[in-house]
Amino acid sequence: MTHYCLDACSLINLFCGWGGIQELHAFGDSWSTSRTALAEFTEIREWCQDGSIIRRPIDEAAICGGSPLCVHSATGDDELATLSRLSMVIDDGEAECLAIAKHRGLILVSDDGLAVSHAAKEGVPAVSSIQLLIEWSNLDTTSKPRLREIASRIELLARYVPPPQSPYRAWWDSL
Amino acid sequence: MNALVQRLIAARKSAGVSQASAAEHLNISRPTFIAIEKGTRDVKPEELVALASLYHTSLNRLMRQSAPPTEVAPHLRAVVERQGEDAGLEAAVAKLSEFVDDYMFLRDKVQGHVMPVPPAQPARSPLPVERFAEICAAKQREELGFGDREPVSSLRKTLDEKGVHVFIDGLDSKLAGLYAYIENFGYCILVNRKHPQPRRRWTIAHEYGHFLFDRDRRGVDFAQPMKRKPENERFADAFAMHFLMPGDGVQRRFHNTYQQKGDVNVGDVLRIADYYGVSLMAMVLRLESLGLIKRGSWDAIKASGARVQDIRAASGVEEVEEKDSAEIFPDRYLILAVEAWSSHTITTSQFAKLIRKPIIEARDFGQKLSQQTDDMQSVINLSLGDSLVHKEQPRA
Repeated sequence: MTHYCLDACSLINLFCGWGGIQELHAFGDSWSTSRTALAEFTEIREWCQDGSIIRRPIDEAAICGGSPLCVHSATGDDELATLSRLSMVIDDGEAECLAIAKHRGLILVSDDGLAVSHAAKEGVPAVSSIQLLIEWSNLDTTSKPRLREIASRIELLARYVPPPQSPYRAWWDSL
Repeated sequence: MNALVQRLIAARKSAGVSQASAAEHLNISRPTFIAIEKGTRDVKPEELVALASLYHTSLNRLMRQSAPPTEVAPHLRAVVERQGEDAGLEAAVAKLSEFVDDYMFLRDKVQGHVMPVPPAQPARSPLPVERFAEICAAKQREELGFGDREPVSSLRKTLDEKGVHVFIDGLDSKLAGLYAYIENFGYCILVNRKHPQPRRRWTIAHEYGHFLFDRDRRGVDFAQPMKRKPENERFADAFAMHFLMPGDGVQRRFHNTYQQKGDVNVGDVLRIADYYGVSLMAMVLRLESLGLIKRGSWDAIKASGARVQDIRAASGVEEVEEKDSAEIFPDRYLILAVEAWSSHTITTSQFAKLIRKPIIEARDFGQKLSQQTDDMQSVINLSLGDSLVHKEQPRA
């Protein structure tokens, strides 16, 4: 089983793309985020029936309900020392996710270039939410046809598009 | 004293936490806590996390490499003490300090960004202070390209281009604005978002007057004016009036209206007020001071009990659009933030916090601003010699 720790931005992308994170069950892996990262996910955008988009506040119960996501806080001397050191260069949520990933042997899920570069410096493997989506689409034959719609939801609701230098940008554009 | 220690002290004071309470929160003795704030005992990571939570700030802010802008708070706090009542001043001072801190953080992140040099302070004159203010306002209008008649269309943007940083955020209703000049940063103004736009424009122009007259002082302006105004306040008031409502322009507009209609009523004055982006009260008082309408006109309007929206509806004067951005931060700050985010110098979460928006809204804002900047860039790249008609020859 592979263990992942999602930062706020990757969590938002997957949540908006799927319309929730229950799909994480399909992987059979273990999923977590940090308390601080989760606190940064405060609002989502949704389509109304008339096609317009509205903003709506969201809380922890609505994000995590029915999903296999665990919420961790950095604890212990090593994690807290790493957290405070990393918070010099990245934000608290990303720093906590990365500190937890480093000391608990998890894979960091992040779409943020700066966070991913610091993960590499810390020797922590990292994947993007887009890579997870591709892996998810390969799990069964019914998922792949939904990818275009999911990418569209991520683009319009999460307001995320892989940056031009991302290895997934060409794939994204080809959808 | 290192930057972290300075930031810990500033954050504690800003949160209004005593050393004793902080020590208790960390479960350490007060002398040990004092040793942390003196820099003689290192703060442990778990203590740092606990203090960030207690002070309602982020680790990322506490761990910034540079010292916090200490000049903002003490001077403005002195005003709090002089005024005798808080009126949300402590919170406002904390806000302004954070905004300046964030601005300085972004300036460090985006290399090669050159800030404009704010205008020099005019030499003091032996003239009465109101007359001196009128001369300064005329000179500023000329330098900023507004001449002696035109309205100041976008005051905030204009001042931003001159290196005067205008922040807008919700403050206690009793407060109009705060101003401070900070060495190595510049002049900054914090204006109350709760006040209507014409009032905010007046406050910004008033605080700009302070910048020209007494920039070395920090100060606070209240919504209710003081009964006895000192010289600097009289200057700032007179400056705002002449800067926003130039005598020549107002008189010409008034006379044009009179010639067209054979009279000028309160609805017409409201139109002139809208044109100059000021309140009805400000324009009526200005017309009174110019001798164009009867003294006491404003008192009569007030006594009638008519509200501005009633006058607007009865006269068919439409609501005017906001002339200025009501974003918390000035354009230059936002452009710096987007630049830092686009170049991965800061993370998306940092970007969102720096512009005080939730993550998705911050992404949306960043993409739109980047697009606007790109569009402007493509306009700038246009060769003015290029033909704007079809390059291909028309077919027969």
